[in-house]
Amino acid sequence: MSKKRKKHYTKATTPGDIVIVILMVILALLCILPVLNVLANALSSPEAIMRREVTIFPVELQTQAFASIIGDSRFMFSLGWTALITVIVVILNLVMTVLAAYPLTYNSLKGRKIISFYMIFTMLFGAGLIPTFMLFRDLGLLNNPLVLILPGMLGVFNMILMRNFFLGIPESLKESAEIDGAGPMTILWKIYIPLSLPSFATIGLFVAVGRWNGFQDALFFLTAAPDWHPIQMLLYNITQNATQVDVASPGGVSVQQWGAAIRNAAIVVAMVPILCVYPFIQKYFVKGATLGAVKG
Amino acid sequence: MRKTKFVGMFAALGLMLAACGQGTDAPTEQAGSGEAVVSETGLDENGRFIEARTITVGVWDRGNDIMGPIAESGWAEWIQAEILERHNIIVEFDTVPRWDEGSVQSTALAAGTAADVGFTFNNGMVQTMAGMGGMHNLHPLLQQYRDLLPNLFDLVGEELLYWNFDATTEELWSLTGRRTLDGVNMTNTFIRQDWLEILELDVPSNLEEFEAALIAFRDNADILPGNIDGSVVPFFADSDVAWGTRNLIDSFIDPDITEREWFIRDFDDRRFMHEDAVREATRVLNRWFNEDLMWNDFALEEASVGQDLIRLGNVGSFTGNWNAPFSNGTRFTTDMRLNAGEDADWIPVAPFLNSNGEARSMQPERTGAFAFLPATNTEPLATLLYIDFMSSPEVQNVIQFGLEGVHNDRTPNGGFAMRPQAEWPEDMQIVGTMNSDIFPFILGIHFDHNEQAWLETIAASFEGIRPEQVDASLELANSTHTLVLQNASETRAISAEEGMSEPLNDARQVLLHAVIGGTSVADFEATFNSMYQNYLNLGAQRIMDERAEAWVEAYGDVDWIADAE
Repeated sequence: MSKKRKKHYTKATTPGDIVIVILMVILALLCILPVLNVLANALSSPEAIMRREVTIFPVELQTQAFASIIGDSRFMFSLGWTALITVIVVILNLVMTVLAAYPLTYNSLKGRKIISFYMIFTMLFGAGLIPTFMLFRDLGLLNNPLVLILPGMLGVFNMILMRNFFLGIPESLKESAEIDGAGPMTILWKIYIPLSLPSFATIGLFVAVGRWNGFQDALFFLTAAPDWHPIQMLLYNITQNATQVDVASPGGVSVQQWGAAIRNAAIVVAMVPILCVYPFIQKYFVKGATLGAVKG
Repeated sequence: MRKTKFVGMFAALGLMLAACGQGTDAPTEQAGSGEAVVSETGLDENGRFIEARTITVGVWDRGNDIMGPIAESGWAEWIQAEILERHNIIVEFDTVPRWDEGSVQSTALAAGTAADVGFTFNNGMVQTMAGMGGMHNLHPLLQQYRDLLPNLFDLVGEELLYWNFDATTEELWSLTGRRTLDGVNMTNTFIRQDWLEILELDVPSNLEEFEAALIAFRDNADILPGNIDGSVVPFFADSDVAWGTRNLIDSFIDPDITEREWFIRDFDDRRFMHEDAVREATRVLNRWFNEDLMWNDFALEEASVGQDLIRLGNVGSFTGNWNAPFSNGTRFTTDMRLNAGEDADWIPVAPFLNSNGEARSMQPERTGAFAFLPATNTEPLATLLYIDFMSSPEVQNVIQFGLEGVHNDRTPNGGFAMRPQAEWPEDMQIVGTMNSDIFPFILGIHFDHNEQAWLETIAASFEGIRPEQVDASLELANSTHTLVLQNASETRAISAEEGMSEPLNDARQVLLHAVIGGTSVADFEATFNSMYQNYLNLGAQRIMDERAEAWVEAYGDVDWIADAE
């Protein structure tokens, strides 16, 4: 009887691990390769792009596309404006989320359950675009840049996450602070907030990405205020104008023919700020990924 | 205690709902009656309002950098000044994103904030809103003010204006604009003249010769100017393949088709409900695809990628608008010559012959966009006068060709020779099809000057193109788009069509991509039959059945409108 060689695996490596790694590598490539293609197109000559020679490496390297984008005052203003509102929305969102979640950690709060139900009820269904439009109209937010900031100030889901995180902080810390004479706000500021940095980072990242990538609100609510369009709205228009086949007039141009290189450069420039922020909060992201999970 | 909790909860809910229900400054006529009756015109003997009227007008904006916001452009200022002087109407422009005009306007209509007049390609939206009482019935308005709207009726014509008129209920919810016959929707097929000359081939005059030319292009690609690594695209069509092969599909439609049959199958503007014609056309395309005679990536890439290939000189033939090779926007010829040599050129051909041996296409859709007046409009007469003003020849000349001495110079016979774009004012660029974004009602080039002026205008409008090329293409397009059928205007609205445009369009695209690019020649018949049956089951058959019923109700059991009692 032949002896079969047994394959020995270390304790850390199993066939399942190998399969998972392969799948993750494939997934990572599916995410990275399109980005590399966009970057390569942004750095390639228009002729090479037209010949469809560009894959993940630039062909006939050029940087004029980036120069055009950076020199486009409207694009750069929109980029700066988007960064500004993203920062504002993140800060306001975190403040509102904390102020909404913290009181709900006090059992002594009268009407706590009703307030919680009132907030959670709004998550069960959405009114839709038209009632939202009417509400914004009545609030004077149509064609007002504040429409990009105010509606995003509080998300109930994030509030629930934050509340659950607060509830996970040992009650004894609060009690000892109360014994020392600390009031609720002091406890919040000196105990809960320092311990909640992972949750802040996670929620802040989600809010920031959502605001940075959002353009639907600008599409419907800032129709007559194009100066306040966020960067993704600009990219949306650039892409639509380039891909929608419209009949050109004989005496003029029907659409601004943003070259493929410039379009791709615009996409890269719009991605860079978020890509720069993410590495700094990545460590909190992993830790905060299980926010609100039941703790033993 | 528990009971108290429930009572308290419902009380809170009730308070919340009551607070939500309070309106503030919401217009009172959000979904009310659309029957605004104007008893006095308020006009003096010159057609000018005695007291100034204010209206808001929807304009489309592409959000590009050519000119800035169109509502703040030089065009807007010019229009505002002119109409104020002519009719004492103050016009405020309301911007609508061009590529999302349907959804944005429907939201505004539902919220009661839409402009006093809007323009859309989505007539279904208009009908839906009208069903909820959100639109003015334009029929009584047109009857009452017809004498005050001579330009509108002259330019568009009564037939088009009443295109969507429901004779049974006497309701007209939208005015149909005009798409000029000499304008955008006549398609020619173009083939590389230089390639034919190099390969010593005659200009193809039928399908067999055309296919032989494509084979010759494929087999001799390495010697043809514009080839990329020894390969070319003999025939180009993009993902909207039904549009890009319109002439081919038309050639398989029965040239003696009756008006009844045409009406039954006319819901889809790509002729897709003409099953037999679509089957035969896609059979040809399937064979071309499998023999590398057609662009391999038509279903995968966006149109702009393929158009780049045309500009590179890599494409041997394509079907497109009659002016596609010449326009300054697409630059199919000028850029092609830069990349493939000065001899690179296009020649229009008509090789797709019908069963009578003729190249004949249906007269293109004469309809432009649709104009509607929301029920919140309190100045319907002023609004109609605005549309009439914009339809006048003088205004149309300025909108389309710009200001004389600024955008153009007049030719000896009264035509327009456009100046280079670089010389135009920054805030008065011609954007969209003949500046259609600011008045989408009229699409295409038109003016009713003499024929010589017309030809001079067309010929002088394409930089770097020989006028005789332009004339040849236009002449061919005119000569092949001659099938004329009457519009079945007496029929009722077809309920089966509501909400079906998008699903059927998507199904059409899926089918075409699959049967052309995803099926072998041997499997074509089975695949087409199966997928087309799905298309019919999705709703196309129901639409055709209801159209057949509507025809009989309106005209009786006849095949031609002229034979109706």
